[in-house]
Amino acid sequence: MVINCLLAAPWSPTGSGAAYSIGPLRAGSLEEMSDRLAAAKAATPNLQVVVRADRRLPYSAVRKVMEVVARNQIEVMNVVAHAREGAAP
Amino acid sequence: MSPGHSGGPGEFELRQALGRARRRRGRRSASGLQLALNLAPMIDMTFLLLIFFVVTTTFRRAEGIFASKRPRDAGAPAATLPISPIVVRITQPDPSGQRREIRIDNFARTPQTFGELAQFLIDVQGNPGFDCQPPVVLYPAPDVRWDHVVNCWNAAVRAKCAVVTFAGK
Repeated sequence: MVINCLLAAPWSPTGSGAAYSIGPLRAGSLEEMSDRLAAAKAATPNLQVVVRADRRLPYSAVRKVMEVVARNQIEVMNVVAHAREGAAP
Repeated sequence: MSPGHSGGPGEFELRQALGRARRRRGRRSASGLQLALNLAPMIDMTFLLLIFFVVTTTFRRAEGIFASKRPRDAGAPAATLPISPIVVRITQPDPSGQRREIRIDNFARTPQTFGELAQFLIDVQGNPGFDCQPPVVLYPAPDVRWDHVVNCWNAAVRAKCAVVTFAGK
C-alpha cells in the first residue's frame, strides 16, 4: 500500500500544506486515512506500507503519516526516495 | 633480739655498703655536681621522627576479594554489551530550506554534507559501545524539509547501517 504525501500548494516555496492519498484515492483527513489503514490491516495482517512524500514537505507533515501507520500497528514501513547518486552533497 | 640483727654478717655488710653509697652521694651533692639527663635532643629526635612518618605515611585502601563463580555451562553465551544508538539531529536554520545543520549526539564532529555523515557513520562502527551495525536514530526538527531527512536516511544506508529509525516525540 502506497501513501502519497503531496504539497497542497505546489507553488508555495515553503510548502506549508500537505495532502494525503492512499494510492490514487485521496484521503480527506488523517482520520480517514487511519480508518482505511485499519481496514486494510484487518484484511491483510502483514500489511506493508510505502510512504512517498514530496521533498519540499516539512518533516512534521510526513511525521503525521508515520504516526498514523504506527497507531495501526503496521510494522513494515518503507520510504521512497530518488535513487540518484550524488543528488545532495 | 631486734629483727634488724637477725640477718647475719651478709646483711650487715650490705647495709654498710648502702650507707657508704649514701654518704658518697651526699658528698657529691655537697661538692656542687648535679647529675641530670638532657632530654632536649631526645625530644627533638622524637618529633623529627614523628613528623617524618606523618608526612611520608600513605594509607592504602583496603582491598577486598569478591568471590565469583564461573557459569557451569562452559558454552554459555556471554552477556552482550548495550549498544548505543547514534542520534542524528537535523535542523534547518533558514525557512527557505536550502541550509540544514546535522549534529550527532555525544560527538563533537558536525558533518557539513551528507557524504561526511555517511563517512562518520562508517568511522564510528566498531568503536567501543557501538556495534558493527549501530542503530541510527534520525531526529529531524518538524520544519526540516523531507528532502534532507531522506538524504540523511540515504547516508545511513550508504554506511551500511542496518537499523535506521525515526525518533518519536
